[in-house]
Amino acid sequence: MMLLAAINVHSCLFVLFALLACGFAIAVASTNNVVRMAFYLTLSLGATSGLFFLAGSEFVGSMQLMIYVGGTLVLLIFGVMLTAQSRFVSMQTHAGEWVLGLMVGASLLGLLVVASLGVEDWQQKRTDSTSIPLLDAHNSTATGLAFSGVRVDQLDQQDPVLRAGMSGYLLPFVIVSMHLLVVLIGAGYMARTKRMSTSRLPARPIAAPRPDRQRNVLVTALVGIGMVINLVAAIKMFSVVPLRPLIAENKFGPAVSKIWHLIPPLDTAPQWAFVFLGMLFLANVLLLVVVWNWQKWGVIGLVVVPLLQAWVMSQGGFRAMDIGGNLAIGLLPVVLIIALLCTGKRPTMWEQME
Amino acid sequence: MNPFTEPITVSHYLIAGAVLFVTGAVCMATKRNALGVLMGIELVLNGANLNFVAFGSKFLRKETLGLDGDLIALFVIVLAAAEAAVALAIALNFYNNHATIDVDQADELKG
Repeated sequence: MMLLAAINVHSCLFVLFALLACGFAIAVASTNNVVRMAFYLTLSLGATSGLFFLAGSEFVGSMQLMIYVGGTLVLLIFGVMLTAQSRFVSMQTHAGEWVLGLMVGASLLGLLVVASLGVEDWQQKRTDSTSIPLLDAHNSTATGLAFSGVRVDQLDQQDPVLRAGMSGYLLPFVIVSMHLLVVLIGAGYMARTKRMSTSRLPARPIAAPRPDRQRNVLVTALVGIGMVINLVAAIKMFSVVPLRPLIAENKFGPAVSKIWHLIPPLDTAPQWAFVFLGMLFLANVLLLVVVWNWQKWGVIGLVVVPLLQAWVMSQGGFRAMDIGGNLAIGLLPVVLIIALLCTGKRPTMWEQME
Repeated sequence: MNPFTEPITVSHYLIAGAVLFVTGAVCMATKRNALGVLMGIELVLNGANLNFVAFGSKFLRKETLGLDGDLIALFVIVLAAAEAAVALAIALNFYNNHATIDVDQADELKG
């Protein structure tokens, strides 16, 4: 019973609805089938309306259900049905575009999460939320009155200047309703089926024949080995930071320490340099996947990454010998891959890449 | 920050909104079906709406945006409906003229 008393139902429901909304949103982004996308979007928007109810804005929540789920989504589903020829139902996205999109998305998500956790005031808990009188918290009437020009929630405003500007949202409301009317008439006019005035039938797009691409055995081997080596190197780089104090205490015996001290930068270079180097090695793995999927920009990336590594190392105070060695080790296989791609039977692999 | 025993805060809502926003943006960037891009836009608008409602909620903070958060969220919902109608009309028009819904093939203006 103690456990049950400790549980906060409001928070649990929030977690449930947030997981549903975010999970189905991710499902929308990850599936290729447009019919399934529409279904998942319905569920995600429904769960979001649950979040609105939990925040105490029941008017917005019900409008979300009525306008969004009941109106906009039905429109979208009609669009899906009108265009759902079998070849458009699921269209594959290129792997390269996925990699780029996910990189941008991950950095954006990181930024937004840091920003939303960054303000102290936004993390203040309201512990007395149960003591808010129910009539006070529910605001449908106030919302409706605000749309018709009366702000009942700000009647205690003393400043006469501010009172004059308190006329509510009547003008924006009228503008937005006119806007909606005009837009809907325009959309109906634009979407109607036109009889073809010219005898020209729309040209069917010719499905590009999938070229029968052949991978060179040597290139395959090089890409595979490169992935393994880069992954190991990334793990090594990330492990330098936690391992360094242990080595200093001689935890692994004298032999390991001796080998460790043979490379002075492992002791002296700043920690951030190793983190960046590890991330660049991981980028190399991703770029090899891209090259494997026949994208030319992966090869360009493979040339750029060692140069970036050299720059990071020079900022981190590595010896010239280390920088040069790393540059050579990074660039030689790339040169080899390019040479292999451009030679051999015509059409060469390079010509087949996108 | 245990969400099972402690009251939730504005930050929790902001993080949920951020996830919706980012998945919408990724959806817009990666989908080849024009309707998929539209669905991405809907997700982005929903993420923004969640933030407005969270800042206006009395249950999460003492000093809030008040009613204005709810009102702006309602305007966003209406504008999203208008935007979806127009975008869908454009997509259907494109489909009628070109017999495809793939945005990669909408390259007639390409120089």
